[in-house]
Amino acid sequence: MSFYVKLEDVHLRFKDMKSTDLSLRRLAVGQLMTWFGKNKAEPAEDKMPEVLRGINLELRDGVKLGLIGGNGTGKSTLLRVIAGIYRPTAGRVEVQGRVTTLLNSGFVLDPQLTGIENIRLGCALLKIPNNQVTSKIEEIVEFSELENSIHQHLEHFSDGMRSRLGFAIATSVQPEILLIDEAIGTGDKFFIEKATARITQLIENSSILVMASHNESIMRRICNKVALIRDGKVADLGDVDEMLGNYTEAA
Amino acid sequence: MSSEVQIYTPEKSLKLRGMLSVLKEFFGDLADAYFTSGYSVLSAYYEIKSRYETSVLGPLWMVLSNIIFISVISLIYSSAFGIQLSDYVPFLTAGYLLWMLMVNIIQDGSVTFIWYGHLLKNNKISPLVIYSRLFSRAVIIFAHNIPVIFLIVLYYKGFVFNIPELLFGLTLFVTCTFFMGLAISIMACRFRDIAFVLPSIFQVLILMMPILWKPEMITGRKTILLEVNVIYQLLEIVRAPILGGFVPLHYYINCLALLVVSFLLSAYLYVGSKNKLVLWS
Repeated sequence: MSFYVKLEDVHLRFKDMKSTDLSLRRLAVGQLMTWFGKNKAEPAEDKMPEVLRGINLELRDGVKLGLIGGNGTGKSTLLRVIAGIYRPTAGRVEVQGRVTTLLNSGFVLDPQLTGIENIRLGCALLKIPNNQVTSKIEEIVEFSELENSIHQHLEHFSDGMRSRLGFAIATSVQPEILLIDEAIGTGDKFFIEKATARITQLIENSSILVMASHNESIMRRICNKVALIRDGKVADLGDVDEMLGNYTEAA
Repeated sequence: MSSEVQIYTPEKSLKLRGMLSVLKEFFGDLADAYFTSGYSVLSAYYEIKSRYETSVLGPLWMVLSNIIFISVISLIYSSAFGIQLSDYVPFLTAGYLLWMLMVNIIQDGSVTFIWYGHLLKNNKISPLVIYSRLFSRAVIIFAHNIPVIFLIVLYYKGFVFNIPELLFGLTLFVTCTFFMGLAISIMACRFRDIAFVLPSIFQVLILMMPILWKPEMITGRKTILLEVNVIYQLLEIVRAPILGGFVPLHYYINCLALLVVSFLLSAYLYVGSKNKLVLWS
């Protein structure tokens, strides 16, 4: 089976939600005013700019795409659109394959529960079949190096321990399509190396990768294509060295 | 491992979609939330468990505070209304605890998507999974109260339960509340003032419902107040079988109608906004 990601002229515009739009009372009063002709003001135009303005991308098996571009150009939004978290306002997204996301805030853990309970919940969220859960748990505990504290509540975990656990859970399933946003987690130096090794392994075994990052050395090592995102469009797409060279020069 | 092709396009307006396609999607997500992932029930269970671990009595504190409330109110109101304690205590216990179940589901539900918005933003997860977590939690907490109701009725009235009617009524009550809570939770995510207004509404509602006072106290033409109060009837189809009473047939019919209405409302709200909740939360 071949996996692919296809985006055809994808646009996305967030709605401008002012605090007044969030109030049912204000909405009702405004509506009444309009009915009785007291409210002459035309409804304000949607002034929010489009975040994505016509993205066309086709990624086939084996493509490891790096996304570069300044802050707020739509890289993270694009990842969320591919993951199906945000719906496009125009265009079409087609994805074949199991998508795993490692987005900014990563996996969400519940601080009131113990480490092991969080792992079990994570397994349920990732829809790991019941007969594999036990072996997955062992694997996650071992990888996150939390054997001694896994039955404690997360409240007693340090930030580093939490992010190790979150990372281990999120990367416990081999994805077919992997979406990564920015650098991966915190932890001591040793764990970062270990995490990078695991990510590299996941990437090697996954058929498609889309990664947004500002870290050029990681990109050179992992990606085989780079797209420059500017103003919500794919401004340029090409080989890694060429693209990164141009980008650095322009900057 | 094979997986289906996922296609994401701009949402069609619900007006353009047939009712069948809306209901199909709703049922699919419902089944997914409860049967496929197991996340909702598991997370509710862990949350309750952690409450037991962090305090001596855990959720039993809530049971205790309910018992204290019921005892105090029973002493005062039974003499104020001139009703015998043996009659009033079971009546108040059953009514009040069922009412609290409904309040918990709807009030917790109203903040579901605001609290757990981060889950929606970082994972492709159905909002129903998150809602059913809160729902399961409310039901588990209510389960703590069941022995209280049972023992109090047994002590004051003996074994008067009408089990088949009770089971039917309770199922109807819980499903109805599930859908009403879902509809309100979606609206409360869109309109943030709803979550603030709900507690005041419930405060007024509990006084309007025959929970502290008995329905028989209303006579003559004013009984219309009970005949149009479907929420009261929903409560009564569970409470009456507990107390060995009789449920008029039209109460069941009204409650089934309420079920259909709240089901359709929540199905349309859910399918129409499940992809927008992530933007609102």
